[in-house]
Parts: sequence; C-alpha cells; structure tokens
Amino acid sequence: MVSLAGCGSRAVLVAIPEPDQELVKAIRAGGGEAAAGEQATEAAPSGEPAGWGNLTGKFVFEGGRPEQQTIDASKDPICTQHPVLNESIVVGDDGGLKDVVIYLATKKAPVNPEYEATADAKVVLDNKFCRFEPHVLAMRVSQTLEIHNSDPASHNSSISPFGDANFNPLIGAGQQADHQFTKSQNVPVLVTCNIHPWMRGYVLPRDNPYAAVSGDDGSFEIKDLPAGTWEFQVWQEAVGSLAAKPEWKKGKFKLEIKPGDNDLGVVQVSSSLFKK
Amino acid sequence: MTIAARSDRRLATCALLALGAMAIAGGCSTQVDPPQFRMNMQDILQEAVESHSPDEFRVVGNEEESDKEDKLANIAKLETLTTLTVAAFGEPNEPYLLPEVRWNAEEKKGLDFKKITMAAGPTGGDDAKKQLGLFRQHCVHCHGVTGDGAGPTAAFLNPHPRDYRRGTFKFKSTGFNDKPTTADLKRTLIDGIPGTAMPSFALLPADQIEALVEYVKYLSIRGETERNMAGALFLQDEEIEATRAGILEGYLQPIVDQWAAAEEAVVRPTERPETSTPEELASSIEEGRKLFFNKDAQCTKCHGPTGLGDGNDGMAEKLYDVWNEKKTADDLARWLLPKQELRPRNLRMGIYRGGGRPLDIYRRIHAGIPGTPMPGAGPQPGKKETFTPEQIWHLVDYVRSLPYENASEPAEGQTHVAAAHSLSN
Repeated sequence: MVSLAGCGSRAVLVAIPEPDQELVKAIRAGGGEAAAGEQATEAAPSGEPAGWGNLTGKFVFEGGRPEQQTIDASKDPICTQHPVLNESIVVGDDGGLKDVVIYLATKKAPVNPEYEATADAKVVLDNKFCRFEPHVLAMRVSQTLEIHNSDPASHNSSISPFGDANFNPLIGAGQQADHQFTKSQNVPVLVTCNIHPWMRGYVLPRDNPYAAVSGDDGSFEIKDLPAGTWEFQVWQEAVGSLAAKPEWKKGKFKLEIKPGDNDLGVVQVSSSLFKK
Repeated sequence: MTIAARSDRRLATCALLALGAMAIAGGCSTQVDPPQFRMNMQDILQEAVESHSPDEFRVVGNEEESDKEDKLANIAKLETLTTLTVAAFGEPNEPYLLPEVRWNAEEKKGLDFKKITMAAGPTGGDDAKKQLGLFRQHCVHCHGVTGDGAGPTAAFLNPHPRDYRRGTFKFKSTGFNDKPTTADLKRTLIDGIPGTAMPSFALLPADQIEALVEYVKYLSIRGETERNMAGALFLQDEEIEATRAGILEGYLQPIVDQWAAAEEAVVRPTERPETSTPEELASSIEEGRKLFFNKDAQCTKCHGPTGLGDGNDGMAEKLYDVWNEKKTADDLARWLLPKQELRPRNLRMGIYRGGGRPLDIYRRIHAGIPGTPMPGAGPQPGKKETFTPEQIWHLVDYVRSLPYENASEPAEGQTHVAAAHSLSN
C-alpha cells in the first residue's frame, strides 16, 4: 500500500512503501529478521586469490581541449601571485584527462599484503597558491588525512562526509590539521575553503587501497589487484559517475583481472558527456 | 505501476494545501489520516543515490530489465528504511523508543519517554488537564512534523527553520563535532534566536520547555538514525540487520551516546585578559582589531573589512550552509524549500544569534559554527589551536565593540578595503 495523503506524509517526490508492521512488532519484541534489504551481496571469496594483477589505462578527452577558466581570486592579496584556474575539467597537452578517479566498487575483495605497510600512512592535502594540492586524492579510511597550509595566510578546510564526522578547522600559515575518516564513501567528498570559496578539492576515503586518480597525462595504475572479475567505478568531478563507454552504466563496469599486467587501454571520454 | 505521475500531482496538491491551510484552516491537523514522519528523500537523492533524480525510485514499465531491477532494489531499500525507523521511533501520534535508549539515570544516558509523549501527538490535554501535543502547538508550523525544518511557513523564512535530522546544531556550548547540551537547547527555546524567526518561549512553564527539548532531541536522533541507515543502505550498499541489535549497534546507540557525551564537552575558556578598566578594555579591543584584520584570522574575507558581513559580496561563488550546499539548480523545483544563500553575520548590528554574552561569542570563534563556513580557531581533535584563548578573548572584545565603532571614517586617503588590505599585508 502506498500512502500519499496529506501534509504529514512520508512521501516527498517518491512513493514510500509502508512499513512492514509485522516486522516492526517483531523488532520491538526483540526478534526480527537476520538481514533486511534485498540487495544482492557478493560473498567474499574464500582463501587466497589465484594471483595479483595490475590495472593500467589512460583517459583521453575527445573533442578539443577545453580552456580552463581563470578565477578572480583578488579577494585575497595572497592569492594573486599565481593564476587560479577552474580545475573541474583538466586536459593535458596530449589530450589526457586528469583527475579521473577509478576504484574498485566490489566490496570485500582480498587485499594484497603489500598494502599493509601503508595502512596507517599519512596522506597530505596541501593548501597551496589558494588551491588544493592534489585537487583530487584517494586514500584508505585507515590512513590519516593531513591537511597542510603552505600559503602565507589562513585557510579553512571544510569536509562534511555523509554519515561521518564533519571537520572545519581554521588552519594558519604553516599549520596542519589531521583528519580521520571513519567510513568509506562511494563518491569523492568535497573539501572547500570558505575564506576562498572558489577552492574545491575532493577526497575519496575507501575501505580498500584499490583506487587511483589519473595523472597529468590521463593515465592511471592500480597495483596488486586480486585476480578475478571485479566491478570498477569511474568518477570525474564535472559529471560525477563517468559513463565513458555506453556499457559503463553509471560509470560502472566489470573487468576480469588476470595475474600480471592488465591494460584497459585508452578510454575516450567524449566532450558531449560534459554538456549539461 | 504509475506511482510516478500520481506522486508528483499529490505533492503539488500537498504544497498548495499547506499554503492554503495556513490562511484558512488549522493546517495539517485537519487531515483524516494520522500524520507520518516524512522520509528524508532530499539527502537520499542528493548524496546517497547521487543522481538527484526521483526516477531512481519509479518503475515506469518501459525501462531495461537491469534498470528495473535497480529501481526495485532501491524501492526495497526504502521499505527497509521505513520499517526500521518506524520500529525504533514510531509515528508522530504514537512515538516509540527502544528500551535500550530510554533514560537511564545511572548512566545519565537516553531519552525521557514521558517527556516525549507530553510533546508528541495532537494538541490537547489529558484528564488531569495537563497540556499535551506541545510540539504541534508551538513548533510544527516552522519545523514540520518530522523536524525537517519544512513546515508550512518555512518557505517564507530566511533563514529556513532548522532541519534537526543531520544532528547538527549551530548554537551550543560544546565543541565543533559535539551535540548541544540539554541546557543549550533549553536556552534556545527560552531566549529564541535573535535575528531569525525563532521566538522566545520563555512564557511556557518549565516542564513544557523540558518536554519540548526532549522531543527536539528525539526528532534529531530519529532523523540522524534514518539518515545514517539510508547512507548504509544506499551509499555503502550494506545490509542492516532488522533486529533491535542491528538498529542499535550500528546506528541508534552511537548517536544517543554522543548526546550523552555532550554534557561533558562544554567549552570552558580560561585566560580571560583583565578588562575591568576602560584602558584595559581599549587595549584588548585594539589587540582584537589587529587580529581581526590579520591574515591568520581572515575574518574580513566573510565578515568584511567593516564587519558588515559583506566580505564575500561580488564573488562568483556564494556561501551556503550544509543544509543548502548540495541543492542544484535542477533541484529547485523539486525540494520543498529553495536553495538559500548564507550571509555572514553583520557584526555591526549587535544581534548575535547564538547569544550576545562574551562567552557565547568566544565559543563561536573557538569551535566554529557547525554546518556553516565559520571555522573553529581553537584546538580540535587532530589540530592545534590557531589562536590562544587570550587571543580569542581579544577578538571577542573587538567584535563586541564593533556596533559602537564608527564605520564611516576610512583611514586618511584610503578606502576601508584598501585599509584592510594594508593592515593584512
């Protein structure tokens, strides 16, 4: 049954199913069901994978190199020493699309022991020349995000990840603030500085280390993936989920990782994806 | 199913009803059906599903099989979410609390269910002529049945009424990520929030204020639990065990614990400089003025060189709070409340939303204002202080002097902006 009547209704825009009253009673009585929700969960593969493979590839922007707009940063004299550019789409000289994030969407994949050494490493996000360096970064939840400030004046770095603690310290020149995420996110989290409101950075905290951000030439590498067929997610700031190929629905695709090197090849990203 | 089209039309009707009802009848209480808590679709769509499109929850019949499966899975998640939330919190007319989160005097933790029942439900009285339904009598017009800040009058207000469901409160005595204390919420009810539509409820008897505070906590905990469970279901693609333990352990109990911990997290500043003589006060104000224009404080970037709150004016990028920042232009017609820009406080008005005592302003600068661009200058977990308590006190003294400072006499041969820049270099 769907109830949509009246102002005090559960429904906003979407018809909300009625609660399962039997289950409500059972939960209150201390019973209930072992697991709710009908989403298919993929069982964690048992034992060691058949080997480890690296995934490489390169994102190339098709359809002319878009010009990065210069941002008026004259609000703060310290920001006028270097040009501040809009970094939502950054294409290199050879057409490489920078700052595309590609990461393992499958949960509970085995993790190569090589990654243990860096499980609690520091990952640095610097405020430099009134922009975030790097503009986009991926890290593990177990790692610590160190926000530095290399500029001669204060920045604030505001993060509000879904379902996780918020953070918004004022970071003086040369100071740093450490932040610990407690939850993995499925899309990169926005980092802003409100003193310089053009500043936007993205941090993707994940439970596993299998995430990479494409470099200046659009290329990326994810090392030591477990062999097997996994689902990957691709994200880009200006469009969100990046469906670079027609079959990549919502930016997701499945790929078999074989032991050794695996190459996704050149992925053409059409400029038409960016026209909204 | 053709829920889609019907849903939109009903929604439009509901919005009209809400507006019309204000002028004509007594609002939503005239509905025959008992009211329900409204699901937090805004956050689910904006953040968890990412697509911003309600179509993710509508099976129209002509979609591909895999899309249909995704949509059905999404709808199933909504049912899970409703069931779990109703199991833990009940409905507006029949509030409920799991025994584990009811008030425990020994541990000083949990919600007082008696107070909640006094504030919940339809307006009226019991046999002993005790006033009931307090929230719907005093609060619902702005804050809505769900405490989502989207009551019938909300669209006409700036700022919009607080949406409690994030568990984020701006004006409190505790640290940045802490909940407010009971005393903080009580104070907001008694004093109101100057400069906003939030009035003072000082005339209500003490037991009614306490009942309302408890109910605001209940709505906030309900909203945050629902939001976090939505995050787990949609964002993390996790399963939630539909048992008491499943709701409590991962979601409800940690939030209740945070509310209890807030009582011990009050910021109590020290090192207040001596300002009992006019000379001492003037010297502290002067120190504060230097800090205000200092590049380490960056106050002027939002509050403006003269403190008028115009420091970000003219910038292409406007300022928003967390309740508004994720709304996109496409969303404008969809949400019940339009996207609202945030104005930095005009410090020359002498109106302070979080209270005008030096201590209140100290806490705003020390911890920042959660949910807004205002950062915290004091120490936070993971970060050393940017300013010492003494420096913050100087800033407090300067900020409090601003309404009395002449803003119309720029330094000789300079505009104020130029003056501020020369001071900050």
